[in-house]
Amino acid sequence: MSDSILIVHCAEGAKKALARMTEEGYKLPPRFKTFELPCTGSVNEVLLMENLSNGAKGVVVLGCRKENCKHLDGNLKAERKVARVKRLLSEAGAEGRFVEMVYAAPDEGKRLHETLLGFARAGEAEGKS
Amino acid sequence: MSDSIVAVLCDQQCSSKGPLQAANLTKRLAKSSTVGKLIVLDKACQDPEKKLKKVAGQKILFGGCPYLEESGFYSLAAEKLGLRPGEMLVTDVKSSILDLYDSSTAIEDNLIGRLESLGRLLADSAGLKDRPVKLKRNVLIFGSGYSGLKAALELSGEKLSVDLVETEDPPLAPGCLAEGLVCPGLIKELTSEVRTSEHVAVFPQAQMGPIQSVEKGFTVSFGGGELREYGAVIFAPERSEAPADQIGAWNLTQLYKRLHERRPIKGRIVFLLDRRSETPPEVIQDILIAAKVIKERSHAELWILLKQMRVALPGLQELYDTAREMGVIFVKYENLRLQNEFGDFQITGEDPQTGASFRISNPDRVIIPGTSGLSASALNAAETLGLRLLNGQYTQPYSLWRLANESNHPGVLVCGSARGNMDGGGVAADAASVVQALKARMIPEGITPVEHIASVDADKCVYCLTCVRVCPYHAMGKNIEERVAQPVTTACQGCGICAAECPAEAIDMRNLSRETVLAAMQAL
Amino acid sequence: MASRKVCVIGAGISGISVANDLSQAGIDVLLVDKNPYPGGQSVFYGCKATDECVRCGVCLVREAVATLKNQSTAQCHLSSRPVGYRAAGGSMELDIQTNPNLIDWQACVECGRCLEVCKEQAIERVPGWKYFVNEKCTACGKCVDACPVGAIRLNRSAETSTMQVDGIVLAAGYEPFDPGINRKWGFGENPRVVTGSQMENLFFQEKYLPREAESVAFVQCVGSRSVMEGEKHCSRVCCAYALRMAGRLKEEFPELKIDFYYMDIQRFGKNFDEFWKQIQGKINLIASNPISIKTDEQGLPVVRYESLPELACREQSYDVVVLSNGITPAAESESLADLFNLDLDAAGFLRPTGNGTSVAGSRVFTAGTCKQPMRIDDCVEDAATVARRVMKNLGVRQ
Repeated sequence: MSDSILIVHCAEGAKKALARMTEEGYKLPPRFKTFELPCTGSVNEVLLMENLSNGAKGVVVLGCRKENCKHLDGNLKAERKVARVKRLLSEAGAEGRFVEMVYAAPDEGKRLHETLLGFARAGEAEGKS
Repeated sequence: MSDSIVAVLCDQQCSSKGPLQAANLTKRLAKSSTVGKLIVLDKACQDPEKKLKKVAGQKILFGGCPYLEESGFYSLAAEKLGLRPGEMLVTDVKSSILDLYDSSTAIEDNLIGRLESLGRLLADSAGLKDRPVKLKRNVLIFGSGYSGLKAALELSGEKLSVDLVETEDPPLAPGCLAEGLVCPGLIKELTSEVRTSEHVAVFPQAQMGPIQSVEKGFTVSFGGGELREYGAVIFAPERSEAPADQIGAWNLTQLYKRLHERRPIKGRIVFLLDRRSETPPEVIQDILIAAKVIKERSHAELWILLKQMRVALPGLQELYDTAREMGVIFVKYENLRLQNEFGDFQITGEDPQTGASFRISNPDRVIIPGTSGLSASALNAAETLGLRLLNGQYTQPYSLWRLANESNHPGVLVCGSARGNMDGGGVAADAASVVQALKARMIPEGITPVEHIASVDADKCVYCLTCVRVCPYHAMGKNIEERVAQPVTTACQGCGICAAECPAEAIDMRNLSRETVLAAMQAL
Repeated sequence: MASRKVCVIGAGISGISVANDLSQAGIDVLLVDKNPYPGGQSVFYGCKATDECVRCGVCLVREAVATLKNQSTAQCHLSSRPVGYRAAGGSMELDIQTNPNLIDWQACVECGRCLEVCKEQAIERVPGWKYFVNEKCTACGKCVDACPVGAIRLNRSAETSTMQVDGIVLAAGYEPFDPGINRKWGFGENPRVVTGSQMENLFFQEKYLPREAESVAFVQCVGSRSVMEGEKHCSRVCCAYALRMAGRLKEEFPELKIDFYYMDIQRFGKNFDEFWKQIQGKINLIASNPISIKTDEQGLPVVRYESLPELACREQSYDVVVLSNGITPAAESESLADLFNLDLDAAGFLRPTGNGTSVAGSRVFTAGTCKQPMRIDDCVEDAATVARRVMKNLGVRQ
């Protein structure tokens, strides 16, 4: 199992949040990969599960904050699906893999960086145990 | 070689002088199955056009900084090379790779991965021949009150023909009531101007059939006659005020009617605000103007009981001060009690600022502003237009993406008091800004469908209409004869929510099907 | 038909929005601003989202600046002011004076070399924009040599250019009230007493409060609704920003004690009732305007106020006191009113007439906070109206 963490993000607010983060000079460790979709609402459980079973350590679904989704409530729908996959993972025995929903406002830099690094650290702790 | 993709990197950091060695990248990409060739356009390159022309006819994956995308560099390149949607893809490599990682090995690894992954997406996509869809130059305005009339007049002279639907709402909504007093013949004037305008046709609401959204906009038939087509709809009904919830009390509409008719209002008058819901500043403006007029005409004893003073409109603070100078008594209250026993009416309460209690006995008239809301027929029309109601009273989402007049349905604009409480100046300003929004939608060249619009596989579709329900834009239509869902290409914004929610997995985004997305993620 | 030219004076959120709208319609727009960068004041304000976007509008400002930089055909004249105006018949002539030390933003490639060589720290970067030269510049010329594209220009004196325009939009913005003029606010005497504007900047840098801060006080209506300070009007924005800030602070520091001193709470947004319900649990509302703010022996600010309804004098110390200062007319209002022959209203704002023009029959329009206090979302909506009125007046159709 690789230790890469896939960030699936939307093309609107989440993309701007990542851009702001890099603009302010915050870097991510190379195990984070990013993939852009038009809206996190277009993510479904199959996509998340397939990525995990193909070897990703974790998937972070990065969407816009509540009421900020350009497509009204795509981020809320994504949250629902992430919750379902989380339940499935815990029932099936996750082996240290995870899937999480993260919200970001287009102007956050530091906050987003800290949240994402938190996943890397948590992942490491799990891997060691 | 036409199967493989050409990757074009347009950032200085990829050049031969930059931290990444173009030669290195080319070597690694040589082993790739999707990306066939790598071109680097850096500052040293004198003639980017010539370099790009060499790869005309192939699909191109552009990578560079977001600035290039926003400044239209890629669209210009696409135009010159004759690329259609589906034949090119653009990705931001600066903030998501070059600036995101620290070490050059990490950058190189991630860049290769990203190029291969997106190359896979591009390789599987089909080129499109989308032609812009021209919308009809007709506009339907739903609402014949102050807002609708103002919007109709703003549009006259714009080479658009307007159909106005006459609704039965009162012409002025709470917030604008003072406007009718300050300019008495206002509504009559506006109505006659609209009716005599050659650009505007007026229809009564009773004759209006259902509004359908179609490829080129909307259709309605009036009186069962021919179908009229529109490029956009302006939703502008007036809010009306609920009656006062106390026997014998007036609401503001009733008060203003008496003021118009110059009926005497004297004695002890009490305005009771903020009981069930807070009073917006525009309505307070109406109240203060009415209070001034009453004081001028009859020197009545005037009380205004409220919980908070709303002053956030220009000129409102001065109105309070003027009213006070004229002798209007303002009291902030808590623990208000209204007791009516055998004709003896007592209003008691406490002033939270002084702790003292007050009592008003047997007022001659109590005026309670009612909450303002949209009529049932207006809400019905809103539903057929696919407008999502917010808190039961707003027809626009509360979101920074949709300020001013846009609603969640592309092509439907909301104007005037339907947006919220407004005063006269606010409605006039809104009529102007709705025309701006209209122009942004009804572009003369037509609207080109978004690249990733939904496409429904008719064989898999079970017509459960889940997609119709979840579409945030009301852009999924129903093909009733064939019993499948059909997206309206001029409204679909390519968010992909329908694709994710479809239980039969019958919907995919064009050029972004499930399988290719998964394969692309794999390559990372 | 020759294309029309409009000069927009002021490149804050209102000016940029109007410029973007007009240039999209094919009008030649000249955007003038006294600062060496666009964005006005709100480009340095910060996001106040908790788990929910509170629609403060700050991200919109940076969007607008990005659109201006990348897509708009508007020409920016930065570090510039209008100094002369002549209107005769149908034509208007405007003199624009431009400051000597400039970085040509269109040539700049953001390589950063000028930043490295400047010893005076006179070159700064604005988010979403490029670099600019601030007042610390000594014109030593090192940056001119360092720049690979020759984008920096240092002259001895200011330049004035004259242009013919068909319309003018004044979007000169506002001046935040300076509490330092009244000793009772304790501003300037204690570094822990900050204004709302300073707090916004801290939010932008994601710094918020000193680490050990346990209590914060927000004081509303500083410089608004006050006869004594000569600012009788309500500034409209302060309740909105202060409550949103309080919500964000409580999320970042859950143990923080927040006291909110107010006179009346002004509503904002479409979900105010819900917002109010959830914010009430996070702050302690005190319906009283403080009498004074002093400093105690430990250097902490102490708020002295009249507690209602007992009318007893109370004192409370805090780690930080935020004075929600209001919006007062732009510093240039008077000189602009003189230059363009406009009226100021009782509060000193540029008063527009009924259809948005400032003098009947003229082609001088006003937009944004220079005419009345507005929040960022109000400014963006207002800009659409002004753009429409300008276009109608100029006879521009689409």
